Amino acid sequence: MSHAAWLRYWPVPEGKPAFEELYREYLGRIYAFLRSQLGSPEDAEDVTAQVFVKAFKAYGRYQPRHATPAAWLFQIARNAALDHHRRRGRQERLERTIARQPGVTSDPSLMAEDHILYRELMEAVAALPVRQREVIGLRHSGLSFLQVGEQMRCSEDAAKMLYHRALKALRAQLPEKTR
Amino acid sequence: MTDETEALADPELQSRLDAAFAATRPRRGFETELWTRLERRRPWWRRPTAPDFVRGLSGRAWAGLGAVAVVLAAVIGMTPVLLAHTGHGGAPGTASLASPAAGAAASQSKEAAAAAFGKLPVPALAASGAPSPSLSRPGVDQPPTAAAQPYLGPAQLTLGGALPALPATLPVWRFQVPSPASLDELARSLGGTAAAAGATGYREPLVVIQGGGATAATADGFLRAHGAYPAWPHQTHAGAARVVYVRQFETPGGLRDQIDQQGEPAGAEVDLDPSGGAQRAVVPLPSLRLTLSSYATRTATRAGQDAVSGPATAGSPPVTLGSPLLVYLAVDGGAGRGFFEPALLFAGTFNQGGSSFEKRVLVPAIDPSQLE
Repeated sequence: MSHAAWLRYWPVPEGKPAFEELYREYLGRIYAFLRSQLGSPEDAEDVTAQVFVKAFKAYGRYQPRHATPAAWLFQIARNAALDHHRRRGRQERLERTIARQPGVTSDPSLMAEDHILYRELMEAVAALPVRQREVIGLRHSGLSFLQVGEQMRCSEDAAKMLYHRALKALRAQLPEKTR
Repeated sequence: MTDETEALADPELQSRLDAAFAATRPRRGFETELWTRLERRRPWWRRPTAPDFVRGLSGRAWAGLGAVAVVLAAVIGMTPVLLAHTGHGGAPGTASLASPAAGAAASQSKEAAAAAFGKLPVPALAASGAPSPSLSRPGVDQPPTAAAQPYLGPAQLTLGGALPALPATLPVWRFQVPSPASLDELARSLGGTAAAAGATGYREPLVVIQGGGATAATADGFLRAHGAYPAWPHQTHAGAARVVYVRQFETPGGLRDQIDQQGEPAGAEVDLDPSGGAQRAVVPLPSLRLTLSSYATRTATRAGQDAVSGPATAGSPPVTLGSPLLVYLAVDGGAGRGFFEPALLFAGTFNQGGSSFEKRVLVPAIDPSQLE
């Protein structure tokens, strides 16, 4: 075997996939989760990019034995969503004390390919109280109730209860025609 | 969990949420743009422009290489001394880089790649009722009178086109096929019904949505109204009677089209009535979750040999295959699982009996050691 061919077969570190595999597998799911938390596709795109830049920088320190890739990425995403809400809260308070700037129209060419029916549903999720929208977002991003509980610092049963209450609140919030 | 919470499960809303989350994806191009940004953060030896064998090295591998270099230097330096002591004498030899450890590393790497999904089922074109050419008078070929028809019968094959260089690994996606009851429920949430197995061979779970009516929508509008517009990368082919949204898969070398087991472009399809309104759509289930693993590829040379290695019966038509396309197709993995696997689709045409035919040959792109 030639020298170059031997180097090609150097084994990948055990138990840790290449970052690109994580990226390809989870990008869509993280984006969908952030859409459900933030409401707007532009915000979801910005925060998704922040999540993966942060994950990319930290990947060398990530240990699969401490958390699954899903748990690790969704923790980063959850924190980023909460940070975004806190910053936006500060920005909205600031805007109330200064003159309003002219509004900027969203560029249609940059808008996500939305499904009309799903957009209303996702916006309804984003309008829920924070723990209810988080539990729905995490659960429908593929996490088990046990994993949701770990993310939200509660038991598996508490996560299930919270989820079912969130569904009830979401159902009540949906427009009559889509209920 | 109490009975009260069980009763509040609201399966219809849960299905809608599943479909919404599966279909909500960023705008086209975002995935590639963000990846490009991340790539720019890599050290130069990790970027795609670096040689393959350098890029493939992990941090520990670089440290290991350093250690190997030290050992080699010591061996090379000590060889004349050792040879002198053993009586061989003469010029110093060179240490061999091919060692049992290298072979073990090779098989370990392939096993590590194969372990993610295990060995894969072999992708293949379906043996269909494709017509056999009627034999014309010997030595006489009639000019083609119509577009080439697909032909899957025996032929004497030779390779005429250039073979593409494949990347060292290619992604494979796995999906779980929902139970019939779940599939029916998910199909109903789109306003459709689960599709029965088709004549074109194995496909991922599909949903049929009937359209028509007084004011039939365009293909795009019809799919969007049903929440079935493709959220995955695709290329649209619009004809007078049908619009096909050919699904595309991201690979290191770019987007690759999906085909079905007849070798035809596959994805979502909308049949149109004479006025251009949507009549009927067949779409892949939007909420199908895919998991990804990378698999080592076979060499281009091996792929070319495999393409022409089929048995040729006496009297079968001679066909020269052109350069192949790297494509993806759905493959039945059994036990409720399916895969989207990469393959090379070769094609060559021949005329016989007054008609033109296209011979198609499919060769898996994945290394044979990782196939069942």
